Amino acid sequence: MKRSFIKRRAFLRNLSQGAVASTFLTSAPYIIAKPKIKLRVMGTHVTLQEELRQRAQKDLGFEINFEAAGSAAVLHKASTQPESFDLYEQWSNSINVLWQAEAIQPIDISRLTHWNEINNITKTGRIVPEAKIGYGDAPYKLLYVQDDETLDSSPTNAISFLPYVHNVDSFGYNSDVIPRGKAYETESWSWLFDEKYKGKVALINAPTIGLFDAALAAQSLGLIKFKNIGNMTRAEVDAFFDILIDLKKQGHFRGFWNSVPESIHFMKNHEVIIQSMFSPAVSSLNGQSVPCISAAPKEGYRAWHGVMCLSRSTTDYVKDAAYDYMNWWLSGWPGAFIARQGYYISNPERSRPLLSNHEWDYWYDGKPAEVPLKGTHGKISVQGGSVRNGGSYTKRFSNVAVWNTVMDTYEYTLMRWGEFISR
Amino acid sequence: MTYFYNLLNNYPISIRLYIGFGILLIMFLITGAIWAIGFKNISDNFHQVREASQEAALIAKIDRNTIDLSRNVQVFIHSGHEVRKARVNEISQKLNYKIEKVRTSTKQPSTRNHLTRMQEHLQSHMDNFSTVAEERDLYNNLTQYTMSNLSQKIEADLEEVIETHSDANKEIFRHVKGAISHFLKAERFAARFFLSLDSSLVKQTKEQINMTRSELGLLSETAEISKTLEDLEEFETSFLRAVQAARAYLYQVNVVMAGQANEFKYHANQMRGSIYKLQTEMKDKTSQEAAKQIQANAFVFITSIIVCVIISILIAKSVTEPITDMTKTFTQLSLGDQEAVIPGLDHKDEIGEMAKAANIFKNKNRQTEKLLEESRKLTGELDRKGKELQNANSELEQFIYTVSHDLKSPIVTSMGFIGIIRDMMSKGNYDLAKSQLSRLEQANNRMSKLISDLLDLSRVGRVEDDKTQIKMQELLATLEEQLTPKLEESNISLTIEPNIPSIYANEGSVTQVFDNLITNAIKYSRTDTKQFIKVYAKEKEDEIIYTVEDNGPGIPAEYQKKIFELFQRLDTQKEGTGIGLSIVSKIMESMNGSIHVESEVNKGSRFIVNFPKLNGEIANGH
Repeated sequence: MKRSFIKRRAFLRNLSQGAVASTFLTSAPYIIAKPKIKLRVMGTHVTLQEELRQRAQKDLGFEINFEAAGSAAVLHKASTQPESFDLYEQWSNSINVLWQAEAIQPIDISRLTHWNEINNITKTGRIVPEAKIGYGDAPYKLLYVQDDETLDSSPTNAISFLPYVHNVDSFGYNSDVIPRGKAYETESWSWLFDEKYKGKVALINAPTIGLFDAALAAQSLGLIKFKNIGNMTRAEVDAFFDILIDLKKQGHFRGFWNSVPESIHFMKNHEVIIQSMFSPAVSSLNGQSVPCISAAPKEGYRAWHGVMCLSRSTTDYVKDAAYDYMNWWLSGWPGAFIARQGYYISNPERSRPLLSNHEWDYWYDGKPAEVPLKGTHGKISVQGGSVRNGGSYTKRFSNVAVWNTVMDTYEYTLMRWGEFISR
Repeated sequence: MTYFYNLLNNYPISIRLYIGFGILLIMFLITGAIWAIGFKNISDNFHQVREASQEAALIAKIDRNTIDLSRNVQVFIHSGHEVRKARVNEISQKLNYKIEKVRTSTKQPSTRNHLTRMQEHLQSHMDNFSTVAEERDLYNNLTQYTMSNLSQKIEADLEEVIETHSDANKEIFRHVKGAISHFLKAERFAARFFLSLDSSLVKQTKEQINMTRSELGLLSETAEISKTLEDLEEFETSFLRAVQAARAYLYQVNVVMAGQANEFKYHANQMRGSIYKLQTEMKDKTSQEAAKQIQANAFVFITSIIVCVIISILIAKSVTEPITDMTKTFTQLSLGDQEAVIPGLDHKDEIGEMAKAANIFKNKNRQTEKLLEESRKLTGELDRKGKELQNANSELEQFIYTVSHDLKSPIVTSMGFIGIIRDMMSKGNYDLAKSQLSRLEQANNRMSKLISDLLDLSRVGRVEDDKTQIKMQELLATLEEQLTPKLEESNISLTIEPNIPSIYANEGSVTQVFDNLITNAIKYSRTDTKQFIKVYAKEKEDEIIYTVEDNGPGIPAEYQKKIFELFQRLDTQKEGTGIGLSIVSKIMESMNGSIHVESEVNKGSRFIVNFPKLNGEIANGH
């Protein structure tokens, strides 16, 4: 098991020296003959979509292989078998694990064509100066690779991940059963623990995500007060899980979903009426005439940020292809594509020309849809007159309560989580 | 009802009976069908209850297996015993088999859906269990062997470096000692991490390893140092891999597998709930079906009875009522009521046919009755004729006897007088003999008169057809004139009342009737008182009654009929043949008239003659 630590350190040390060569490699990868390239991308179904793969292959001219699986599975594989992938796509909460496991290598900013267009969510943590940063693993805290190999917000020439797809999540509820609330005013995480919905509540089965949904609910109800909800102490974890286990014993939770389709199934089958939800699930349910509302909680959202990481084992031409793929993601078309699914891209202005004004107004500016809007599969996904709950991109990302996070007590929370859901 | 009754009557009895039995059969079939359907429903429900119970038992087994699986997974995770791993796989296979068995056999979509989802979770659960087992093995190998060996090796390497550099300056010695110290801290932090699973210890471990590396990096790069750095690198790699393995199996066990176990539990609970609900529903449904069935059967049964009764009554009424009427009519007919009305002639059925036949029978009966009546009449006539013949025979015998006797008497008388005359003449008494000749003449005259009367009697009825309008007043006047000598001789007055009605008859016969009656009255008159004879008449609607009245000696009651018989005489002293009134009676009989006498001894007699009016007779034709 030969580690690449020396290489990573050497990389950092030589980043500035290799800038010219890197530029050369980036700008003219196809001038010289090169072997057939196959880029292996590992990740989740959120970004590993066939339309994107086909388009990328067409645009980039090399073969791309997608390996999509659940969050935990891909994180484990990526952290233990870095040689099994070239690029890894997941959430920012996986960075700590991957970086600690030294499964990924720093990304050279100079090779990122549109780096300067990346907005401040990832660079400074605030989309606008007055925005809340949010607790937990805000991506800007993990972005830059420092000289001592730690990750921090201080800008350097290397980054741990490519900022690209991101969004805010909260909970979804069936407005046929639960009266529709007002965004940021009445909609609250506390609804998740409302006794009225006993037995019809679900959480995402992921301690780095679902745990924060539950924590925000408990805190909103005043059942517990966290000093730092993004990095709970063991005592806080214990007190919090006592609350959760008590609720579980009372039969408050229907279950814990493991995938977006499962969350759709839960609500579509009326097994739940309120639960942790992702944007595609809400869109899908609305498309199936289930009036699912993605809440804009007054306590703020739980945000997530997609990360694209470069395997420590990827080198040479494949590495060049990986950079090409990263640059392709920020080139406009992919950002416009995922915008129609409700996701945001880190350099939205580049995608704007590829979106209609109506689309931009609805998805990014939070204005009512003047015309019905089609999704990525050509079907109407937004009815005319609809308004995106939570408002504009800026407003939504100005109200982040916490980011999906791997806390210092992560392993401990895993055990308590297991105890919780096994009750 | 009436409509149906009338409708029924439009059909023949056989069709009615077929309809009735058809309806009964239909009711029977409906009753049977409802019984069968009800029984099938109840049977199906029981079958479903039984299936649900069997399914519930299998689900309970699945539930137990699920709990058993989770328990063994937990035991394996904590103990790492291979036997537990094998047991988990064994239970998983059994569980999968049972899930598949119930899933393919259940008829409940919700149960099938739950089992499908359980099966998917089970598959993932076992995949994850394999990962957990692998990671656990890896974790054990790394922490118990690899890292331990590497620790010993690194420590030995560093001790060797110290020994190698024992004569070195303090600076080198301090770096080596520092490296050893950092490495020992790294080992301690690592060990503490595996005990406490505090992520910050990973960071601290890495920091200590880096510090070890830094200390060694400050030394000149000898072969020993390079080897130690490589071992340190391998130790760090093993540690990080062990950390990932720990995290991985912790994640798999506490998140993924715990989530799946939770889903197992949820689906098992749901299925238990569904099955319990289904069983309860099926039991309730069965009870309700049974109650409904009883109600339906009772309804159909009662309806069938009512329908059967109505149909029977209607059909019986439609059949028996006309037959009863017919029977009554036959009884009336048999009692001779020829006017009895045959009912049901307007029927289009067998009753109608029977009524027509009965009507024919009635008409025939009427004809037969008529024939019988005629027969009776003819028989009566025959009897009467027979009696008449008998009477005639008697009369004839009497007549022959009387005629013979009466004829013989003048002959005997004549023969006597002839003998006397002969004697007298032989004796020469011619004068005396001559005087006796007048007596002989009287005897012969009497015989001549007798023969003449007999001839008259024999002529009675032979000239009936010779009828004319007879002016009776004139006829009687003529008779009076002819009889005047006799009347005067007998000093008898004859009074013919005026306005005697005329009649239409044979004049000779009528003349003879009145001649005989008046002559008789003259002949049998009394001398002790002034005799009179009166003739008068009275006309009625259909007859004319003539009366010849006298005040003669009268006729005793016992002879008032006998006098009309042949040769019957009341007074033999009077001259006569005893034929006159017989002739009168015969004549009246031949003219369909009659004669009788009303008489009282010593007061007189009234001979009353009734002439029927005949067609063409002129009333009051005087």
